[in-house]
Amino acid sequence: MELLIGVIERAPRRLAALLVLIALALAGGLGRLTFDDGFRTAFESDTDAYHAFAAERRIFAAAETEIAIHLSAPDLGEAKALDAVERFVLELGLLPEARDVVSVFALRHRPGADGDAAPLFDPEVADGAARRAALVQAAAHPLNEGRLLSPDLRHMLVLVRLDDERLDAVSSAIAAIRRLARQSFDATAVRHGVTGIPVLRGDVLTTIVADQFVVNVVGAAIGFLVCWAMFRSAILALIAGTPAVIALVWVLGFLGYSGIGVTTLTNALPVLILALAFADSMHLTYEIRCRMTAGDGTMTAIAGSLRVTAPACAMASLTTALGFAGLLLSHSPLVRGLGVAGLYALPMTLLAVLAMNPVMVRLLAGLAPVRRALRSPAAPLLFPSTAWSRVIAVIVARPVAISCISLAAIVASTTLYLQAEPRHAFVESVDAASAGYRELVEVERLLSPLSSIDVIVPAPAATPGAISESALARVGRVHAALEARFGARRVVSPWTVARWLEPDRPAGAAATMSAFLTRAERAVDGAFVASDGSALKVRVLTADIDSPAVRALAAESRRIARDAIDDGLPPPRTAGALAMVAEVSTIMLDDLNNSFLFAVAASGLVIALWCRSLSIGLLALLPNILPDALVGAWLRLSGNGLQFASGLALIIAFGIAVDDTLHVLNRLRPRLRAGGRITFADIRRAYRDVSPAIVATTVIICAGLVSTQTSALPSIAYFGALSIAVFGLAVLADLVMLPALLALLVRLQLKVARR
Amino acid sequence: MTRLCIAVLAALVGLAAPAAARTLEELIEGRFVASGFNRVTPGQAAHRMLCRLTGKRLDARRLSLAGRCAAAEQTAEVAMVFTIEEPGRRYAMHIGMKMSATQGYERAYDYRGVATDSALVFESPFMLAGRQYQSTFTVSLRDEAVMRIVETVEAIETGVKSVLIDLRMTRDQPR
Repeated sequence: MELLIGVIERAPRRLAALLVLIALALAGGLGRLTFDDGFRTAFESDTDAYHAFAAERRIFAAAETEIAIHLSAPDLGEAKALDAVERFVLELGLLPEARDVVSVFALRHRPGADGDAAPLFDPEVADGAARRAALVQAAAHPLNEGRLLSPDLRHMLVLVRLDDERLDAVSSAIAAIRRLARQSFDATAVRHGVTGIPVLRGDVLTTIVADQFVVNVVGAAIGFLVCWAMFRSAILALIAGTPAVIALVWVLGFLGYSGIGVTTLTNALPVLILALAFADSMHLTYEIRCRMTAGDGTMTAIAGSLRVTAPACAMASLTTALGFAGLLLSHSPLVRGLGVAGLYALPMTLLAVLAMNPVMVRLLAGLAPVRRALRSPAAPLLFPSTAWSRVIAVIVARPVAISCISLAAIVASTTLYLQAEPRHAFVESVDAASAGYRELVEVERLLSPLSSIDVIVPAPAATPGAISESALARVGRVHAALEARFGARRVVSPWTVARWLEPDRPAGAAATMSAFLTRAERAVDGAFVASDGSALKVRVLTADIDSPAVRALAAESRRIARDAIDDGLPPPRTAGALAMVAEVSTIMLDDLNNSFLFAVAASGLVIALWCRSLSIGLLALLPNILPDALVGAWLRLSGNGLQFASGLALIIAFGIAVDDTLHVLNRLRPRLRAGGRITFADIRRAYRDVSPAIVATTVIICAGLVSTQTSALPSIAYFGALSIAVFGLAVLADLVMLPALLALLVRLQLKVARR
Repeated sequence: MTRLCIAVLAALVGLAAPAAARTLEELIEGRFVASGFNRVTPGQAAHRMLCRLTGKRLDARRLSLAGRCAAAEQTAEVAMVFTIEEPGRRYAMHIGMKMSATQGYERAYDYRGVATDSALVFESPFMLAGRQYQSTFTVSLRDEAVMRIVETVEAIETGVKSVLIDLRMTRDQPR
């Protein structure tokens, strides 16, 4: 600290130049920022569920990479509409990005004696009535079951599987499909919409990129405005706000250079850093102004302010860092990535604020308007200090009741919080108002769910490239049992085809299907038949549901499948991305509870060491546990459960919320470190000094996080809202519960001393 | 899928038809779209088909035509290289294919063609499903931009004829 003060005093210009140079250098990293929607990486983990999923993916193809095109019209059988739709389907096949196209136009009549299966749509028949009749046949086709075409001929689903699943290739394919759809249908009655997981991933990525501009700019603007309102001075708002913006540039540049990039989780980090930097910088500016108004010279005020404020800021960064460190316990690389990013970002932010703010004051104080602003009597920070001093006096005089009520609230809310169920759904990360998501909901309502719980049915013996009759019969029993429970429309497997080919003896279709597999290996590779011939797959189609529902559906499907073929051979198992995500997300959400416990324990220990008082360390935790516990209890009572956004908000907000407690304890610390006991008067004095500032910083942080509400990603907006709730409750706890607990401690210590 | 490639070949040959008094090398550059139907094997049901192809001149004697063809349930990348043996009369061709197909699995083969006065007639023997056939393309060039390509195959054993390809090919309009 003294070194920094020395540099600010002796070489402020060089220090300022150095800080700007660092900002310029790191600004280069902005161009290297990578953006990841986290769809692939979020659940890659060292868990049994993920390993099983990875093993399954080696023999079965992914089903969640299809782009779904929803076509609708009052009557798709009308000649012009039908011609346009069929031409569109063929054109889709011509897109360089398309690997396969699935539509009703591929449906055929049952093979005749010569083995030839004629398409329902005879290309040599141009008559409109005949083509409409073919469409009616398609709607009633056993392989359709209302999935690709609705019985009323109003809705049609076309699926496109891509060759390249990388996001940039997928985005290019989606753009080409949308362009083609516009060209094909603009002059017709056919309405078109594009959806599917790849489309939603693209939407998420677009939102993440937009957020980095919108959320941060709005956050910075709000920060400046709040500083201006607090200081009633545009100059002081600039002095307080500029270091925060510099810190933001440093952190974003670092994310770019380090390759950590921006994900659905780290998306909220920059605005969080911005809010923290605004808060620290405002603390410092407030202190400097108070001292200069009291008559201190510029450098004296800077040095004094740094000595008083910097340790608390550093401790606040440390406790926040402990929250981020707790995230390293997660099984998820994405969550760990947020932890690592936070651990790097916090010291950078602290350094940017502690160096930039005083050096700006040092350099600009030479200008008359700045000097006037710094020396003008400090306006009250929109806080009723006098009235609050009286309240504090009452709290300190009667601490028992408040302490007991607070402790009871902690116990009750923690009990509820622990019952909050881990819950994850894909929709958490998707803009529910986006066209892609609305289309997905429509497709799943009108035609077919696009997700599935997969039931893998091992074959009695591996037959690569073929389906044995015994394997088909086995999958048939599972299919029939699942169909009896979930309905024909929701269950799809090779048995669906076998039953169509050979209605009287479906298992007998094995030879025909094997011949087809041999001829068309690439078109059907791994969709339902394992590439090594070891198993067949039954898909139980389901709409986007949350993880508890997925786990229940998977358990039920597994039980039904196993009951259906209790033959001593390897039993069926559930698989697929949906089931894996449900299992792994539950583990990861449980990890967040461990991370939270780590953050609490580590923060308590650090505060105890900082104050050299174990009792203070324990006591300081209580007003910070209460806000998290109350929000956790709300999660349980509201039925929202513990999601990634809420879990992360509780951990990170805990670390930040400790900031206010530290600023109170910072005022008591000299006495504590000297081995003395604090008194009631110390508590009252500390609160008189810091109450306005901690309320102001909470307002700044909350105001900065209000910008998260501009994000189209529900998880980011939810994270911001819960964080604001925690900060609001935390400042209340610091203003009411903490003085009561401190006063109770003083009472106990006095009692002990009297004995 | 064999038919698919042959259709493309026929289209090229059609471009060189003497009826239009134009040569293949004059007409090949540009983008083309072909639509119609094909049969996988003689006697089987037909499927609607659409192709988009781009023609380029590789050097003085070699021309290429490459693109993609699609039916409702299959797609194929098609790439052809032509060698001009006698301008306006005789051509050699190599076709390479990468298929995402539910039917047909040939990957590469060679073909030879001959132009006549009124149309282009292109012939080649080939094996399909263990049977020997002789294929004949009749390519009528109606004007520079539109042509009709019909492939008829005749089973050597039985003499039974079947239309495998019927495509209408035009210059692709800018999209």
